[in-house]
Amino acid sequence: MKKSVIDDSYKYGFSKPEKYFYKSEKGLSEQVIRTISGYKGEPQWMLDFRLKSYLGYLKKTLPSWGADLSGIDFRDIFYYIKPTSGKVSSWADLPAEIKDTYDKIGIPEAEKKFLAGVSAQYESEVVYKSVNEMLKKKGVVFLDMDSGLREYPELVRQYFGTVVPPLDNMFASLNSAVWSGGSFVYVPKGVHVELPLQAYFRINAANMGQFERTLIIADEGSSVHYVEGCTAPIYSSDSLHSAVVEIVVKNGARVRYTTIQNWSKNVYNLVTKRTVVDEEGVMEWVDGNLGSKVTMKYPSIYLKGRKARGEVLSIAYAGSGQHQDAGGKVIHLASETTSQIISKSISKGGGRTSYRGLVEVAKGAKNVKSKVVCDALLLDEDSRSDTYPDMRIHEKDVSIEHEATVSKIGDEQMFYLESRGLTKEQAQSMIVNGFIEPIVKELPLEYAVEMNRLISLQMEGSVG
Amino acid sequence: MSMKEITIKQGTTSTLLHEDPECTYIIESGATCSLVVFQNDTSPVMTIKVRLVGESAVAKITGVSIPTKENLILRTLQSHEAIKTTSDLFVKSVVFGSSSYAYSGSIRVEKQAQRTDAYQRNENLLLSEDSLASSKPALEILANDVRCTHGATVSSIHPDELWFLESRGIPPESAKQMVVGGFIHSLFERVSDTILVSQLEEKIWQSIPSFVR
Repeated sequence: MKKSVIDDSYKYGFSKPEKYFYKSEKGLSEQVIRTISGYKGEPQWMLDFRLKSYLGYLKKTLPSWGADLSGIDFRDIFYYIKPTSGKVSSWADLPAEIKDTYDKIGIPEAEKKFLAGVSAQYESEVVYKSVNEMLKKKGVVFLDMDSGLREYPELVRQYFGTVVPPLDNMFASLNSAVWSGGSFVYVPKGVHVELPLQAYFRINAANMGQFERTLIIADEGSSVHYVEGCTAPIYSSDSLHSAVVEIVVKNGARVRYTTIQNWSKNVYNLVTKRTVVDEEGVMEWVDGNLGSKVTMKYPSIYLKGRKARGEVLSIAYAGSGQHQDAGGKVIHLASETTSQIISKSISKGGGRTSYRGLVEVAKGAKNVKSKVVCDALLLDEDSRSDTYPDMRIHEKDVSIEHEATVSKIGDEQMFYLESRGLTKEQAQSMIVNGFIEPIVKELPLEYAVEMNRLISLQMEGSVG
Repeated sequence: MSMKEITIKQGTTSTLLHEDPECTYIIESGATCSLVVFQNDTSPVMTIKVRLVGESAVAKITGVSIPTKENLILRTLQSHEAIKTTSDLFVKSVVFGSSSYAYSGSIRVEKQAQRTDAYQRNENLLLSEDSLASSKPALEILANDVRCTHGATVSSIHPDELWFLESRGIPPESAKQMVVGGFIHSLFERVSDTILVSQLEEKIWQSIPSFVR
């Protein structure tokens, strides 16, 4: 199974015939939003939320900074697609075609045994889900967002749109208007979820926007690790992916959110991810960006409570025709808060990586510590690397550090490895894997393995 | 009005004190330019551009900004336009009272500027509850055979440092002055022209409020 994957010219470059239950018309209008909401049988407040967001979206413009987004045609996108008529709860009940897709990505069936829950997103809605009995016993809620809204309307209403307001930015507004799918996670007080919760995402329709909406609430003293992995097949026309992820970390809770983004190279990936962390809470974003044509993603952390901590670990790889504009933001709003941002980026074959980040210390937040480290590797002369860090410090008793380096692979390193019989590609891939190792080792094992394999593939040039 | 330009001719070495609001320095092949930048409340906005246009050109920029009442802005650009060029920038600020300091520094390495070595460092010391510092670097690297490093820090005087000095009988005001002096002093080692260093030292002490708060 793994072998056939490697033999593909683009690892995930295949697509399956589309089979839909319902597909909205192209483009966006109030009618489309009413249809989506009606179709899902949503409460009135959610429809109002969507319509309000839509009106806000109409007034917003594309950001004037960052990557080139002029290639997106917002009128040429399907805003909602419902793939099959219902949801299935076991692997065996999945349509053969979807199972085949997962096999090609390499989700092993063993996952059922090992992983706490697999929520796999095929098209706009979760079609496959297996939530372990253990989670249920502990009172942990792990649902797709639509089911979350149906089954826990009060909880959703209390937090939905509070971390990322619907009028925050153009893409947050768009997502708030047409969101579909995504995950809803609630971890009760003091509960520790030992195994990572995983959601596998996949798009399979040309010109289809994916607007997932994820809300994670970690109640006091709880902990959870959520893993999101994305792969998408290649299509000639441009696709848009614009998710919103909201995370609420209560007093003393701990959340880690891991993403491996590997969309095909025609996808615009414009994501708003944000956390609010209360007293002594810990938030960790582990963010890997390998695919897509353009990614703009800056996971942010608002440290609102005393002694809260935030960490962002980011890896970006940009090959030919790709622009990875990624980074992280930490806003220190309370005293004794600490943060760390570590970013590693690699540009090859004319690709461009940009680190864009912010560390802000608000007035009154004392004894704040923050460290930002950005390292970039340029593999050939056609590639480009940018670093745009920003520091805004409004308080005296702080310790803020930032450092960045940009370099190429050392000739001596290459010589050393080549003199020991490795080919140029093998040597490069070994050095690049070493370069990103500090972040890869934070990934769950199967992702770390896949990451190393992907980097090796990229270095061998079979992907370009 | 066009911006003031100073050209450092091929193969020559110059050490210059920069006090203008704006200036572009064009450094030709084999030339070395050592710039000493001093900024206080009388020159709230400064823009310094260094263009390394010839092979093996070198620029060294050493700067001190001391805002006490005003909001100072320092902008720098290290533009590498030829091969084997080197730039080395180190600017520090000491921010007093309710003043502020905003640094924005760019390093741009053009495609043809292979084997560039670029360095940029900004350190800021905040001396009052109301002082504010922001640091906004930008690195844009279009060549691959480069070494480009950047760093920035913002901090205040650590109470341990003051305690150490005060426990040895040094009054709090003098202790603060010593720490500030030490913070700035490390920059002087970068400038080989001793006359320029003593000029700079005098300017700095004149700008610092008589008793450091």
